[in-house]
Amino acid sequence: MNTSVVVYILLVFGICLLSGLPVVMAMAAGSLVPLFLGMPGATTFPALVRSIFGSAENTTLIAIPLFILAGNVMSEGRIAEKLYDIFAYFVGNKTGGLPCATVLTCLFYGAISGSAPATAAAVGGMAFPLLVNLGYDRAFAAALIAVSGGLGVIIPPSIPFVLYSSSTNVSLGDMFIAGILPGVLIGALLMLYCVIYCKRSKCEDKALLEANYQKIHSHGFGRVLLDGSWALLSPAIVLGGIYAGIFTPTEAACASVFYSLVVSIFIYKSIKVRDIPHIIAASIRGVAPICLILPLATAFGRVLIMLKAPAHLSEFITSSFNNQAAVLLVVVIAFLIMGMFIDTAPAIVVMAPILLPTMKALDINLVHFGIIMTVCLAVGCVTPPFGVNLFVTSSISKVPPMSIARSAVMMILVFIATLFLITYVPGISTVFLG
Amino acid sequence: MKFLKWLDGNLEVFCCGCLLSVLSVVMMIQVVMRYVFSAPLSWPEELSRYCYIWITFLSIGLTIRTGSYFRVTALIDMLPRKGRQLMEFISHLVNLAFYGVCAYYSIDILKTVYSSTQTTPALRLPMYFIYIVLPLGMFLALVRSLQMSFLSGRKLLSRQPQEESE
Repeated sequence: MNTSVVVYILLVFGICLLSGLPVVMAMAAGSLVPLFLGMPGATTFPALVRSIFGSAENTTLIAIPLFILAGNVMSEGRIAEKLYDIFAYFVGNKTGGLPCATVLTCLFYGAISGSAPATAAAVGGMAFPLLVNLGYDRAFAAALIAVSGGLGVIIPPSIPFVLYSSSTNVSLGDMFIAGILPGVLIGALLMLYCVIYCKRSKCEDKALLEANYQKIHSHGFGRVLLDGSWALLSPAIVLGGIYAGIFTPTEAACASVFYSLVVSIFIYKSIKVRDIPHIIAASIRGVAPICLILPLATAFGRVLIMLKAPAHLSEFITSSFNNQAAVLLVVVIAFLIMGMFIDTAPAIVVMAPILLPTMKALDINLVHFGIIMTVCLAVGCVTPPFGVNLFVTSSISKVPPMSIARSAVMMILVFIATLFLITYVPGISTVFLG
Repeated sequence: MKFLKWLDGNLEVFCCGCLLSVLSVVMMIQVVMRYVFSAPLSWPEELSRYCYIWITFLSIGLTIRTGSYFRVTALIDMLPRKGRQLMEFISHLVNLAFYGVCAYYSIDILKTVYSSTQTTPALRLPMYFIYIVLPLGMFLALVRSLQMSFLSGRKLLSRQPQEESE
């Protein structure tokens, strides 16, 4: 009886999803299936509306609009540029140096911004023209930015982490601590790939690079460092504050909004006070799609939990595999496929509560699982047909999304290889946890 | 007419923008009070949480108007143009039906909350004050769905391949 209802729910959900209905509608329709089947105790319309209201009342979620706002302030304030200059100062004339600087900038910018497309947009808008002017292949540059933009969600702060923690009650502070090493590892391997690629393909125009390197150096290191230190201080405030236990993630988000505003207005003078309404409007446009998704996913999840679907799934999985490694492999592959079609936010809020009992039964650390999920979906940001970072970099570079994806194949493979490393070496995520 | 046009493009963004500003400033006040004066206040957390709820409900209309809600387009992208437009139209009709029912029930919910004497813990505001956003947001979403159903329906029926020109 219950199983058939669950099948109906998932069928309705799946059909709605594939026919291009809003994800929230698919979730609402799925939640209401028991009602239409006339089941007792089913979620009714008023209960659904009330539960939307109830689960929006969650202090952690407030971090999401604040991180988006902070990200927009920093991208308007051209903070990515200052970061880039610092790295370019050191490695500007080395083989693969500037691509590496791009990855490093994404890494640091990821510690400011909580979203993959935002990171790709901010770093790409600045780094893409620069890389192309210095003779790098357009598709390579765009692919590099699209892939390393994914670091934005792995390096904390990260909006997927906030969503994961809200839908599973795993400590957000722990998630933020756990994300840093996997992110750095992926960044490091991407840089290694860049160096090897540039060395083998000899794609670089040394003379152009040298000229650019001299230009940066003509300002003197003091100037570059002084300029960049304000930008470097921002991740220090956000992450340092959270790690030291001074700030809650929400407070850190708020502090970084005002810090970046002050720096951009008074020090870099890249934002004027009259730009602020425009920045807030852009943030609202960014946060609007995310707001409703978590409350509805919670309602949807509750219906499934009431029918004991996650528990049954857990029983089924543990009885048929009874092996952490095999289950993780299946989960990772499933998420990679899902990432090709669905955005990070809906995938996390729908799947995390469903898989939670399975992970608990297999004794997999839930923080570790959250990291695995996020990294999988970060790969999903660059895999066609639906990879949001491909679209973002395509609009910056005017290279078609599919050509970017083709140039990105090797980088995506590097990313996936690291993903498996992270999956099977839990220590990478959990080593700093108390 | 000019005002209506502004309203069409900016109503939700304006309301939510104001709420987001309040949220950030209030949260910052709390950060300063806690870490500089070691005297955290009781109300900022509550106020910012309610701002967030208001943003959640008022932004539904925005996602419908701009089509920025999450959805899976991989399959319908393979359809010919008219097919895509038809699916677009259908999904707006689904929105219309859903938010219509939600709007209807949200009034009931507001009534129940209104008749209770519950107040918010820190600010001591009557609870219905917060819940007003429920019918407000739902009706706004309903109006936007109606608007988009009309616009997408008209596009579907028009013979000329016409660009986005509203």
